Amino acid sequence: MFDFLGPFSLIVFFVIGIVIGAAVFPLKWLKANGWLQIVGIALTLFSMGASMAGSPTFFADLRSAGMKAFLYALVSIAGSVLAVFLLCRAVMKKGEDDK
Amino acid sequence: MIFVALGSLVLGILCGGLFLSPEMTAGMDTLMSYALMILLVSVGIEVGTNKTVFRKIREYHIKILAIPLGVAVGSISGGILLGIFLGDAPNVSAAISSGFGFYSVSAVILRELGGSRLGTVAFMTNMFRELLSYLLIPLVAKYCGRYAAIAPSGATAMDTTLPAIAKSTDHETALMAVITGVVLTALVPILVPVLYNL
Repeated sequence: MFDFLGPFSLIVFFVIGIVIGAAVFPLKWLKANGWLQIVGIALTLFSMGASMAGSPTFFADLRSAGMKAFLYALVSIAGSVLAVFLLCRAVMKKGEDDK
Repeated sequence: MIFVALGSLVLGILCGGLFLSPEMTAGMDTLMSYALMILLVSVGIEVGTNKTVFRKIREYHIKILAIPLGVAVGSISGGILLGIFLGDAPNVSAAISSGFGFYSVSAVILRELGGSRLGTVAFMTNMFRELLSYLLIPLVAKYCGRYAAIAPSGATAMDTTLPAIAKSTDHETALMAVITGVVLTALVPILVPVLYNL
């Protein structure tokens, strides 16, 4: 479905949205846009869940994925905090990052 | 928001496992593609209307990119290191950790590229990231500084975890969090497929 521009296909829709938002989108419709996002997320995840559950190996995948996913989340957060801490000490003025 | 997401996913799994025929389950992939398309256009509109972000980016100049750059580099490096221990290929671990908490988009991309199991890992990783962020932001703000408090959130810094950041830091940091979230949200649909295809 999303392979007309290889790995960049999805970003096309995102860029279209940015152009619409920056150029013509009325601010009074932002709330409706927020609701559209909720509907979009709900539909995306509902269809993803239904499609995943159709796979015969789904429940075995879920059992094995839980701990791995938790570790990826924890280590990604730790790496992010460390990198931002070090980068901000290097580029921000003294005192800008006071606790 | 996280409850809507989790509820929709669980409902989908129940429907897919119990009620839908195999033909209807196959049609869910098409529905998912269209829903994702709508979601990305909608998120783009929100980013595009946020003129403050564009103005502040000019004001802080290049320094403002230190936080999203740090989050991206730190997340991906951490993910690759963990992947070595777990036996995952570097392109796979880098792609999983470059979701930055944007669970809907990154999980769908990785499911399409790497199959159902990878999509499940990506979804749960990013869901855990959002949940853990709520718990860790106050601690990180206290011990590592206000800017580092933005880091756990990743892409969710501009919406769902923003209240937690604002509560633990100040208004200026909250604005930096929005900018960080916008930049990282824009990076997810680019980085996830590019890193996976390396």
